Amino acid sequence: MVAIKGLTCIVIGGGYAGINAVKAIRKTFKGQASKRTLRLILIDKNPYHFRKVLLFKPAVGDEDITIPLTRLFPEGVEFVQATVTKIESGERRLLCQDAEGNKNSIKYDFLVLAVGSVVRQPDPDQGGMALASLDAAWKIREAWRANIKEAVKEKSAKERQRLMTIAVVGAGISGIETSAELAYFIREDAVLLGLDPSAVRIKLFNANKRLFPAGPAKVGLKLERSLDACGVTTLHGSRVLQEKEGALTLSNGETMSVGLCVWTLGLLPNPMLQSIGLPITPEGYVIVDASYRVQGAQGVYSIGDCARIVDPASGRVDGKTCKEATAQAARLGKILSADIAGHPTPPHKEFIYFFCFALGPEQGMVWTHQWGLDIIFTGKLGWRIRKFTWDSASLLK
Amino acid sequence: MEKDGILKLERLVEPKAYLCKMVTNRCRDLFNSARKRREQYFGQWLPEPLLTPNDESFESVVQGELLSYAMLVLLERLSLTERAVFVLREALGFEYADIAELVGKSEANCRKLISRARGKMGITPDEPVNPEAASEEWVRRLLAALEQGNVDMVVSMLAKDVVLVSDGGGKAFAAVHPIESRDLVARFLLGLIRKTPHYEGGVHVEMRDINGQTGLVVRSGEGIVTVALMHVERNSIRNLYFVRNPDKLRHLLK
Ligand SMILES: Cc1cc2nc3c(=O)[nH]c(=O)nc-3n(C[C@H](O)[C@H](O)[C@H](O)COP(=O)(O)OP(=O)(O)OC[C@H]3O[C@@H](n4cnc5c(N)ncnc54)[C@H](O)[C@@H]3O)c2cc1C
Repeated sequence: MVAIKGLTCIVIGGGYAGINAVKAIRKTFKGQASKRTLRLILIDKNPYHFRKVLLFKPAVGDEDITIPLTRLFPEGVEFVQATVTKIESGERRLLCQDAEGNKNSIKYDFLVLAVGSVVRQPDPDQGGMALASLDAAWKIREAWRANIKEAVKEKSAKERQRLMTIAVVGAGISGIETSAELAYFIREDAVLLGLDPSAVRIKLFNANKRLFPAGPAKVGLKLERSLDACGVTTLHGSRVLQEKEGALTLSNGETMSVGLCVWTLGLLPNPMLQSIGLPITPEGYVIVDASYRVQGAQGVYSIGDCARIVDPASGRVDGKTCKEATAQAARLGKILSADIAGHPTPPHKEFIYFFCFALGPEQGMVWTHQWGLDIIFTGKLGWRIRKFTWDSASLLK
Repeated sequence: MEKDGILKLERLVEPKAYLCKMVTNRCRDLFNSARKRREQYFGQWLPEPLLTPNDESFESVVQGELLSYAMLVLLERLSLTERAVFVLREALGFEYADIAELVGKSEANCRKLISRARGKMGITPDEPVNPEAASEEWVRRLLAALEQGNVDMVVSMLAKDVVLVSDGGGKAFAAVHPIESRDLVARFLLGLIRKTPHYEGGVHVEMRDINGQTGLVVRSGEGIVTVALMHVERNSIRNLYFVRNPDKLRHLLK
């Protein structure tokens, strides 16, 4: 008979995958509390859950997009603020460093690695500002505000127009949402300052031929029209090489005057995965099986942006967004309890095709494909669904 | 529609509220007028068939037109709110409480709306929503059976409670009421095949990609006379749709 003992489960990363994993693990273990006690530890380098997908908000206003992790889990979960540097899976222990630089090691029975991704940044000599962190978002806001204030005093019409023009480079979900939000708020500020709001120009640079290549062309077209209606012009098939002193250079040799250039270039796997001591793919994602177990590392699982997860049925690689992360987290709860009990684990299944876009305050669009139909919600209901997904991913629902 | 809104917007004191209201009203008007037209329609009403994949015109499910014909026919029976709650529940799997919050109605009300929507679509409470468009293989087999006049074969391909709906819009001959039951539908189909020699210049039937599935386009010397689509369930034909109203076929000629 197996002796009844407490188990320690550590979740690394308080992002969307991590907090949802903590919630799911707690839930599945509650039912079995009588059999085994579970010590659940959440480690993050920050004291808060960072609502990354709302990064465009501090670029336009005062919204706080962090939630203290102790507020999300006031009880039943221990929180450690530290940066994990190494996983020694043979010894079932991890090494970490706290904010003061003190090194520590912690033993575990089960480990969930959910350290996510980082925002892809342009080279420093490419100029502009990447929407990559809270700090960067604030700086972007300062920059456009300073620009339109200057535009009020500016005598030259040409220079005034430059100051009121912003290039958003990279037309993924983040670029789409950021440009719609910028268009709305800058216009609002322009009105307050007595400037002509229609002179605010937001140019969204898309390297692809259309928006939203993951979905049907008509959805991309519809998105483009909605952006156009809120004052965003989309330029397809155009690559920006650099921004220097207000001049944007495109790959086709053209130049354009802009007051600010914001890069939204997508995500890269967390670079710390290179040295953490687990197997990774050439692109830098953790290698896992269909039940999120890390190859060759007993008791270690990985989900979210940092893992390469494949649907065993279709062979498709899971997307790297919040909805996949939260669905994986929910399944991981069941996988862990099945593994502990020695039962077969539920395999990964890809998430239904479902995409949401915010298109400025109270406007949004949702697309899904079901029953052979393209189903689209627009306007306020689209926006409400959008907000619902943000809130539920951050456990605010 | 949204464009008009933005143009006027700049001249207004409370643009956002106005815009929301205007768009809502406009949608409601469109919807009501469509419904009125349908209530005064002669015989059965079916949506317009759309050729795929080139046709990129579209609206949202909450507002209108879509792809898979069988599902489209079913969704067309619903009100705007019913469609919204139905899709949130059945396509996206939202909880009732969340749907209630999203559409601003009580949870009890949403449950009622969804069960009414299922009722209108003829889907029983525990039946999954999954109308399957007939594959090319199916359409070919049915055509062959009809051409051979093989009654048994045709009957064996039809579901017991098969329904055939024809839309002539009062402008083309069409059954005013749906034809129900396996025997009646089989007899009707075979009758059609026997009648074809009476068309001037004969008829020509071709398979085309319509609403994302294989459909039949029937042409006579006068042009397209019928578009037929079907939906298969548990390995037999559950629904047949015959669009004959010339107004709904004209755009296919382009
Ligand atoms: C600007 C932007 C917009 C986006 N928009 C959308 C969107 O609209 N919709 C959508 O679905 N997705 C969007 N995404 C993607 C989405 O943010 C990610 O898919 C999601 O965050 C993945 O969750 P995760 O938990 O795997 O990783 P993350 O959210 O990145 O969380 C990782 C966590 O790990 C912590 N961590 C990292 N390294 C260590 C370490 N060494 N030690 C301890 N802790 C560590 C981090 O502090 C962080 O809390 C967007 C991303 C960005 C950047």
